[in-house]
Amino acid sequence: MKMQHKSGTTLVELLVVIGLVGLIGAAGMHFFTSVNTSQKAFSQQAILQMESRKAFDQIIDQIREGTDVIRPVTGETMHYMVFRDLLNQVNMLYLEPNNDESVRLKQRVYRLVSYCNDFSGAYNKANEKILHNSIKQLRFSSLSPSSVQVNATVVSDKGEYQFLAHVGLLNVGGIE
Amino acid sequence: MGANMRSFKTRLGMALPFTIIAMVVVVGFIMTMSRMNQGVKNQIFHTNNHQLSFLMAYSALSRVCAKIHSFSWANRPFVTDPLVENKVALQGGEYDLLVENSKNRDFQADVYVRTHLAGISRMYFWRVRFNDDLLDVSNQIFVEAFLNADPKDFPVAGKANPFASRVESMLAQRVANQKKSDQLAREIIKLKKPNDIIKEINGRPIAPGDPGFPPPPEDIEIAKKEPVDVPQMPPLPGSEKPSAPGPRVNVPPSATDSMVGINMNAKMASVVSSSKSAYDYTDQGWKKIEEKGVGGMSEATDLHTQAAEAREKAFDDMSDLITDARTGINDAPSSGAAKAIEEMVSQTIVAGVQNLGNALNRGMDHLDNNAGSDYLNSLPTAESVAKLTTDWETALVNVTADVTRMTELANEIGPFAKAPEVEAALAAALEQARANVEQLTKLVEDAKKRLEELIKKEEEEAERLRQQENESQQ
Amino acid sequence: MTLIEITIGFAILTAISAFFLSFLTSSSKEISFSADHFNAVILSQKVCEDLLEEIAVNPYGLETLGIDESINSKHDVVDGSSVFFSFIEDRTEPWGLIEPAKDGMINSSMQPLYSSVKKFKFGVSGRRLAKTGDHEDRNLVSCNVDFSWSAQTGKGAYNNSFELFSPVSVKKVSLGVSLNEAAIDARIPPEVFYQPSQTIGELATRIGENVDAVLSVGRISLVSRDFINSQFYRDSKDAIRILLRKLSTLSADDSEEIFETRLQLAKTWYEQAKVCFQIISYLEPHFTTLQQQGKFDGTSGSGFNPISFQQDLMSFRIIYEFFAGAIVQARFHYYQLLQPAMVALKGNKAQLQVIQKLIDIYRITSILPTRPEGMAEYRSFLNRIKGLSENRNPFVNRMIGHELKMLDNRNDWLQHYPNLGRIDDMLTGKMPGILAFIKTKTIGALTN
Repeated sequence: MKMQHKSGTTLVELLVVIGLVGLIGAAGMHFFTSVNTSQKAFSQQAILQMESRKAFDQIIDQIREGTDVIRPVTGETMHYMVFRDLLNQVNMLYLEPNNDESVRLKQRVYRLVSYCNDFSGAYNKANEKILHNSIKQLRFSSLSPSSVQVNATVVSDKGEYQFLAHVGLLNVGGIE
Repeated sequence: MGANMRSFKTRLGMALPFTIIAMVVVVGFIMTMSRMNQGVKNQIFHTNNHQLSFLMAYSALSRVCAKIHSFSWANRPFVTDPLVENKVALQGGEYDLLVENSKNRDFQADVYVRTHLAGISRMYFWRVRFNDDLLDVSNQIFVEAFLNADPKDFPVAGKANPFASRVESMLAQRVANQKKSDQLAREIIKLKKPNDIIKEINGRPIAPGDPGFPPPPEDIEIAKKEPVDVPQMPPLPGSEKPSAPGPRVNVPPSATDSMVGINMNAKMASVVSSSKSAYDYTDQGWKKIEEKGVGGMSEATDLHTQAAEAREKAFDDMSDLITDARTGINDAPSSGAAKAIEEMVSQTIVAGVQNLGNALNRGMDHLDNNAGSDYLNSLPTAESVAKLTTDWETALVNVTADVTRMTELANEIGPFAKAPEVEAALAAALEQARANVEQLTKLVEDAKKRLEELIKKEEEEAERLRQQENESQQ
Repeated sequence: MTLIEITIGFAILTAISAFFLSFLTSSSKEISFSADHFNAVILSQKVCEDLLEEIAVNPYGLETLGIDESINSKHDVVDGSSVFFSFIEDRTEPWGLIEPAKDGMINSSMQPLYSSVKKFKFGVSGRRLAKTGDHEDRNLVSCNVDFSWSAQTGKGAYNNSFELFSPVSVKKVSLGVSLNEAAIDARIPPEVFYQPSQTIGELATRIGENVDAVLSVGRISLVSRDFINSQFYRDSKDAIRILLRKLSTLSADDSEEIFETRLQLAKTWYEQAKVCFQIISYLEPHFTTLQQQGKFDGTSGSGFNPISFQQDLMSFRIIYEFFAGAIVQARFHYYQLLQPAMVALKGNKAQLQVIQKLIDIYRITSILPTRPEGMAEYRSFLNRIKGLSENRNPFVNRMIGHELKMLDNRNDWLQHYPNLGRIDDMLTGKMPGILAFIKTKTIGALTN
């Protein structure tokens, strides 16, 4: 007698497959989600570092082209910095409360402002730049009239990043 | 075959499609994550590149400074043509370098460094100034200007360089702003609050923060902190001040001003030559008398007249010398310099006084060793003694006047610094001169006594002769 | 679907998942590692900038910091383990002073910085590219900054290297003036020996001296006389007179004018000192010739005036005294630029630059043979700078400490600063002998 081979999937097979796939999928999704979360956290941290650094590289270039530090004086730490640039214009880096970001991050957050005095006698919007929008803390310490240490804490909704930099002002010249 | 096909067809399941889908998803995820990782690594690399490029450029600048220092400025490698180096390997990258003399600025050089590090090019510019100072100890080379620049501005040797013109105009602007900048800085340093400083530089005042989110304690702390005063050096101790003030401000300049006074060399030479002449003429005059006796009197008189003129000139020169030297002494930069001038002048004066003293001594030679007394006593008549007395009195007046002037000059240079030997020589010359005066004074006294004696004797003789004659007439 | 198919499919999925999971894990470690690497880059930059500043202030900065070719030990970044991270901020009173043990270090109160950097260790090594010789490498130092940290993947290490200009060899600059010797020599017979028709050789033969000695006498006489009466001196003196007069008329409010006037005064005195030094440097070898070869005295034949020669010798002495006096005057006027009103106008930078200029001037006055108090003055000045820079400017402070230590061994100190050694050679080595020779020759004219 010939055996009749029937094609198709039995209910049991279907249930087993669905069950197995579901189990693996759930476990995988769970692990994927948790690793993805930590990945996002790490990458946010890295992104936070990189973005802070990018902004401060611009500040470093600006300070490097300076001639001398007016405030803080040698040995002093202040939360702002006043220095002279290559054209002898007085520049100031200081913090201003960023209320929108404060509301978003639910803590006091500042924006880093740079203003350059061009001796025109009046405020000039073009001389004002917002260098960063979410600074938690900023300190400038001067170890010599031609260098400054920057201690900055940048904050985002994913965390905060604090770093230290030492920048020399290179347009020093001589007393001759 | 149909059965096989059917069995093949019935054996197709979902494992393969599921596996393929799963593999596609995984590969896709891996690619995404890799790109993100690479993105992170790239950003770190870029940040790293920023600093590494700067360090590479700074190293290139250091090499240029080392070259300038080692070769000397006159023999610097770019004295006529720019120094050009291309694709120099350093610290994992390469740099191009061009160094040329700064236009119209002595001892300054423009250094252009273009770095290439893993596909990113940057350019840095320095203008450095060499300190051509033989008293320099620290070997500093000053940076007059530094700029971050666009790599496309890297100059080509021998071609126009617009970047250099931009630098010049920036430096000109810097100079133009210097005074205003100094005054503004002076005001800023006195201010205590950031908003005061912002106001001073015409910035936009800091808006207040949301009171719902107060600043943390450390921010309050630093906001309350008052800026410190600029640290100061203690004042210069008095002992380190210069020992003399330098040129006097109330004395107008002179075309004959010199380090030592006013036209001193000629004056000093004149003192020495005129005082020497005084001696020479005196000596020659007395030699004429010694050789020819009365027959040489006429020539001797002429020579002694010249000696007297030379003597007068010497006294005047010495007086002028002291007056002129005071200019140099009073304007000297230090007590050491004043002392050196004083010693030079006093030595010259003493040389002059010595010469004049020697002339006096020469004029008294014929009276030494009792020769004068002997001669006096040899004169038989009051008339001859009277003439001698007159001559000696005249000589005494002249010698006394000369010695008085010598003493005055010695007093004028009394406060001047002198080496002990010079002091001793001056004292000896004056002592000898005064001894001459004393000797002559004694001789005059003796002559007067002798004259009195002779007059008395002659009167007595005349009386005796008159009495004799009266007796003979009676 | 057979059991085998299910099992195979399950196995494939498991394998894929395992691979996937391991990738995720290593990827997260990579990110973490990259973040640490990022921190290492930034910390390394801080150390590099510190070294730039150290060497700019002090060419012996590596020696001062105790840095040599090998990294003998690695330091923590935190807790004040190294000088490079001991002057971070002024966080406690007294304000304006960063005390390494108190507020200068990165400690646990500085979060989150402390937590992110405490794992790092670093070492600094450096070497001079050539230890001896005159090559440009002698004036270059190569520095390496190595950071390391514990990492689960990859090498937890980051390195930076660079070269810095550190000038320690003698500066190649001509000490003496450049004079037209031919023109001077042509004037010797008529102006020094009053023999206009004779050549130098004929003169030498007649008076029994050799040609070198005759040339030396002539050049000493003419160069000294010319300089004593020079237009340069007159102009310099007038300039100083005018500036002093101006200074006496300025009020305290005219800070800008006062600063500029004082600076010009200082520069004019300094220039005078420099030119006087050039003159005596040029004439010094001629004195050596005279001392070794010359017999000039009052009996050197006719046509030679020993008195005017003595006056020329004394003129040389006066030029030396003017050098010594002018350099002290320059020192005084530069120091006046450190008055509080001047610093308030020009700022810290000008203050430091004036101090650096003064260090060089004080070094010179400390070796003047006619200024025995010079070295004590220099030490006192260094101690004043030390007080100013303590807990404020660690670079200058270290440099001063190093200098004070070197002063205990004069030869060592002069070897460290060959420019100064060269000046010392002239002032301390040669001048006393020359001054004694001048005294002998000039006093002898009166006492012989």
